Amino acid sequence: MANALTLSELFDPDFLAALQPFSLHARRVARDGRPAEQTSRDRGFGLEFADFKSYVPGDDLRAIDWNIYRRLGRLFVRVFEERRDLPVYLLVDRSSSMYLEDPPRINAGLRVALALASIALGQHDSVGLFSFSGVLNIDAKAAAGKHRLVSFAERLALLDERDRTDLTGTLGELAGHRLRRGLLVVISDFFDPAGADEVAQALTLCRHRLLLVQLVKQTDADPTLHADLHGDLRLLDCESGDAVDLTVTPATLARYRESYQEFNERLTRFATDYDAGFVRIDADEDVLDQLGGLFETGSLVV
Amino acid sequence: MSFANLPLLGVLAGIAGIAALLFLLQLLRIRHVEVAVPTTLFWREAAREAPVRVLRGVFRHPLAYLLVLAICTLLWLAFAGPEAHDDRTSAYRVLFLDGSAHTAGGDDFEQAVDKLKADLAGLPEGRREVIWGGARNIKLLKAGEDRLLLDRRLASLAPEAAPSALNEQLRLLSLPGVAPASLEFVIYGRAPAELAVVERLPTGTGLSRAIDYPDGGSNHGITALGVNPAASGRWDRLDLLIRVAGTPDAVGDDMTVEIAGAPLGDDRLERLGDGVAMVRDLAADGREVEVRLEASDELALDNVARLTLPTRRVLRVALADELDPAIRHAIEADPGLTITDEDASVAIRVRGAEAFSDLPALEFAPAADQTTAFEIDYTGNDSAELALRTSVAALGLDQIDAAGLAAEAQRPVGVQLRHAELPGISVWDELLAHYNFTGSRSFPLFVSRAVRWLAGEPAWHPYLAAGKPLPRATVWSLAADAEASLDALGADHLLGAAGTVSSSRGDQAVALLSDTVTERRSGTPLLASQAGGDFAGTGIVTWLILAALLLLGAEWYLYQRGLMP
Repeated sequence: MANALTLSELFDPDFLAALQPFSLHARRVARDGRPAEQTSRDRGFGLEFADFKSYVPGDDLRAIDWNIYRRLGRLFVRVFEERRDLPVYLLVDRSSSMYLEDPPRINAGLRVALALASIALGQHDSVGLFSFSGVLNIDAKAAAGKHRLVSFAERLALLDERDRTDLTGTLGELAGHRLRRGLLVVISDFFDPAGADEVAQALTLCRHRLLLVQLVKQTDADPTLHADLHGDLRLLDCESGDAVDLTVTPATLARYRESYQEFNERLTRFATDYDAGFVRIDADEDVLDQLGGLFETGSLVV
Repeated sequence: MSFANLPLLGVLAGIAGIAALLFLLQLLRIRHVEVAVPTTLFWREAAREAPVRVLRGVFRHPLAYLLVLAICTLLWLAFAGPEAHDDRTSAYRVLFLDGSAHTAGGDDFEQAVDKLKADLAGLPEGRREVIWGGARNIKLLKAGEDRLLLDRRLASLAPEAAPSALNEQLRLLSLPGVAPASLEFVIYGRAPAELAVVERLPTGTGLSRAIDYPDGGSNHGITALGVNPAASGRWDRLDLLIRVAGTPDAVGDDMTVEIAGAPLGDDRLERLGDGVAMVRDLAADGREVEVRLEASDELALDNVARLTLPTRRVLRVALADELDPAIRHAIEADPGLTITDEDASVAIRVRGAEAFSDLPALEFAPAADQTTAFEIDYTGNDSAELALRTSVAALGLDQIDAAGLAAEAQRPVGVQLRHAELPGISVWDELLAHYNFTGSRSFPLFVSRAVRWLAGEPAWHPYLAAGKPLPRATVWSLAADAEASLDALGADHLLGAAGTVSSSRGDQAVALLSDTVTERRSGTPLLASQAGGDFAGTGIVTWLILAALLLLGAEWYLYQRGLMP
């Protein structure tokens, strides 16, 4: 088992500085949020003009549009769009499969989580941290403020390996928390024993907008790159301990690739059907470069 | 079909063993390598299609098993070395590479070697051997030895200036129990076989020649070079005879003669016609004569011949007066002996006389003083047996009528030998006076040989020719002790190749002098070959290995295509 990143390794100023051009925008956030920079359905005293309405006693006299009153003889007040924050919930997989190889997938997952948290906190959105394996853990409730980035990084660094993956159960449990609607970022390898269909079904239960971050390695798609995967093998599932005995042959490899491709296509199809964001991060490559692909125009709209 | 390396039972047992071993391996539980993976989600379906082999499980993949069994069986058979037994290969083959002067002309030898190598490739190693037929026959490649060894062994060999020893080899085969029931004797070269020898070959033996050489073209050579005592009667002179033969009729006009490196004057060379020439009254002083034919022809080895002239000198003999006059007459009749008291080499006297006591002497003693008729004192380190045999032959005692003398003397006539500082011979006086030894035809011979034996004078030889038996007297003068014992067993003492042979009395030149070599005759027609001379082999082992490699390629292809576990 490989070691996950420590706080000093994770909290890299250069990495964070490189994220400055990126921003995260929601098409429209839910009501009742904190004042921030995201477009919302609330009307009030913002800076962006939204509409006119007839004056009723109690309205702010400064909002009366006197030009309209002179032309029409009736009182109208200008109403403005309220800017609210976007709650970003980071759901990080901490099952054993994320810690197995070298470098482990969790390293890339932590960097992605920190990057998204940094971007969201930088634009006054609130960020919450959840981790899951067999159960859901609330590691940090959603809160805003740039100053929280350090403590957020500390909590990320404290995440340790847990047992098996139960993403479907975790998503059901998360739905029960009645969180304010926001952006749910699922950072995982999605190797749920229940299968891709069950995971997709569980994701549809979430009321949040979704961004799926799939952490992969090159050996997933091509096992021949793995030095030990040849000949007669007993494959041990690192989470369940289940053993599969097989002889690696070209036919076996072909069947494996077929199965893995089906899994990926199922995830992609879900993301397309449900208008969810989807990004595949290679855990062996530089995370920042791959995030650049996600924030193609500098801004990710969810 | 048989196998060179294994008996048939061993081959079959090996195949059965391989089949059983592969069967067990097919059933054997595999020692898995455990590898932890993030998920086995995608491997499970693959494992259902390609399950691992387990011990005592269902025997899966029978076709794969048969393929592997076929590969292993082919390799095993190749190791066993199968040999097909048809008419062409069942006979044991003796390949006789002629390394004599017969095959030394042109590129005859190279052709023979190339043909031999090509034929060897097609013959089973266990049923053939190669013999080098030079001055002596040598087994060049034994049965079972790899033919690759031949190149290295041939590297130091070249045709020798000697007649072929082919007939000696064939005579050996005609001895009972030597040749196998089915034998094919193949000659690589021009060595001729004698008709008498070929006819004595046992039934089942074929004799053939690998290459049909064209008849010899233009070649001439020296076929005789020898000396005789000079017809002029001069004891220390010799007449030298030279004969040149070949085709077309050689006359030897291009002949030069050198004596000790100095050219002989043309006026001394007397041409007698038909290629015969003579040089008269050459000094018998031990020099070497070299005769050379200058014109080039097909064979160079017979264009030069050498002979070491014998040494003959007049021996000085001191003779006592009181001896039987028959002794004086015998000495005076010998032109190589002269009677004198000065600087004598040998004395002849009555036993006990004080005169010339420091010389080797032929003495005569009363029978009462001597137990045997002949007492011989010998010097040197020879054993008594060898010395007795040598001296009896050298003195001509084996030619006297010992039985007649014994009958007349009414007592045995014997020879006693003893070692002494000076050689000496003591003879009963009564043999001369009463038993008529002096009247015997062998008496002058005895006196002559006794004097020369006492003086240490070597016997001389009229010629020395390669591959021909030595004149008997010459054997004793040339041969070393160990070789002399060969002659004692009755074998001919043959000189090997032309050149020089060493003896205790100096080097002696040996010439080729062979009519058959010079005339390049092919000899008698050979027996019909039972198996033919072309052995372009099938190479069963090669085909087996190729088939195994082909199947290995097929297995690899099937494995890559996922059609084989």
